[in-house]
Amino acid sequence: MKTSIFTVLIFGVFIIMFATAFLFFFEIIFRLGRQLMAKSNALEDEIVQRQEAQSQTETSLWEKELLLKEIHHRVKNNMQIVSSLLRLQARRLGDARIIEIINDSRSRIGAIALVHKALYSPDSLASVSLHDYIKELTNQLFDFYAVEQERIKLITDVESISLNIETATPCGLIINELVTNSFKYAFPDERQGEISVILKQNSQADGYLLQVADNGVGLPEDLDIRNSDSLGLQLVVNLAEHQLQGELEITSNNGTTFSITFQETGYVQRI
Amino acid sequence: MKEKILVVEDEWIIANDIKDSLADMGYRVTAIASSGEDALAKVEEEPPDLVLMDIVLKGEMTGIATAQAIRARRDIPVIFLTAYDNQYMVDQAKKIDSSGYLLKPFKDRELHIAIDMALHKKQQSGS
Repeated sequence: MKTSIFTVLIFGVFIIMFATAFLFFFEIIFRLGRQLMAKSNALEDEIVQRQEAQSQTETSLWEKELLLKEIHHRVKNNMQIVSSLLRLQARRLGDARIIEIINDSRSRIGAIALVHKALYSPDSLASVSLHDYIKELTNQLFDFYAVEQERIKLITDVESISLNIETATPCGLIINELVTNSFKYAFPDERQGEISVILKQNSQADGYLLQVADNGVGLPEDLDIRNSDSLGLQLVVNLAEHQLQGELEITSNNGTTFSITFQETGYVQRI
Repeated sequence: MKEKILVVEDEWIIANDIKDSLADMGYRVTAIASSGEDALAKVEEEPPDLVLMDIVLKGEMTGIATAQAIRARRDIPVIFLTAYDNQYMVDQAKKIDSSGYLLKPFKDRELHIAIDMALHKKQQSGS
């Protein structure tokens, strides 16, 4: 009997010990589970927060682009106002030479305004598509100087090239001057002819070739292009060689050809 | 007799540039209005044969609302002028029975043709 009581006792103690251990173990599992749940909730919160932050960043980027486009639009409109202001003045003048000077200035303003127009078009922000720009610029020039395309034919051959505003603007001004020059001097006495504007990747160097040519009467023999009084020619030479740091070559043979090889000017991308 | 045109444009310089161009084309500008409210008053003062209407204006009324108000009272053709070429603007302008929509900057020749056609159409429908 003694033995059996002793056995029951030992057995009881054993069960109690076992139960305590089990409860203790269960408590640990339970606590670990709670901690894990808390961690997982925190992670889920963080994911939501990060998603919100990302969408905020995207929205603010979108707003920034929209504002930038709006600014380019306003710059273009302001240039339009400057141009109108000059025309108001020109209409009150009698001297044909001064009127011509004012009109040439308006045409230059127009060339720059088109760069800003290109920068608020739907698919561009930091660069100007030269293909579209040159088409618009040359058409604008024909309208501006009231030149009939039946009399002077325009040929444009422009590869799909996009350039930053710092490169596109001097390119536009150079084309503006050269096409204007051809209008004024290459085809005297209502002569017929052709003007061509070509822009392509330069096969030899890592850069571009801009060529503006006409098949008119050619440049005067005694013209020293680098020491000319004409602002137009000074603009062409200096924008090509200094602003674009390119090379300018002029041939006058069955008309006039200006060839400029240049690279995109290196500015750190700002936007 | 010279046809009379009211120019509604809040940018004085642009308005006067247009006025000079219109004079060169042989039209007479009755007035320049810089807001919708001003335009309605000027139409009553001296009813023009045609209105050139900028869409973005000073004050409470847009050019589109102003055109609507003018057309509700009088049968005067309205041509919209705007620097904005977004579809929303075009859709808004379409709701009004307008005689044209010119995108700034426009050529004098385009303006002349648009005015000529609008006046001609008005004359035909009136006679």
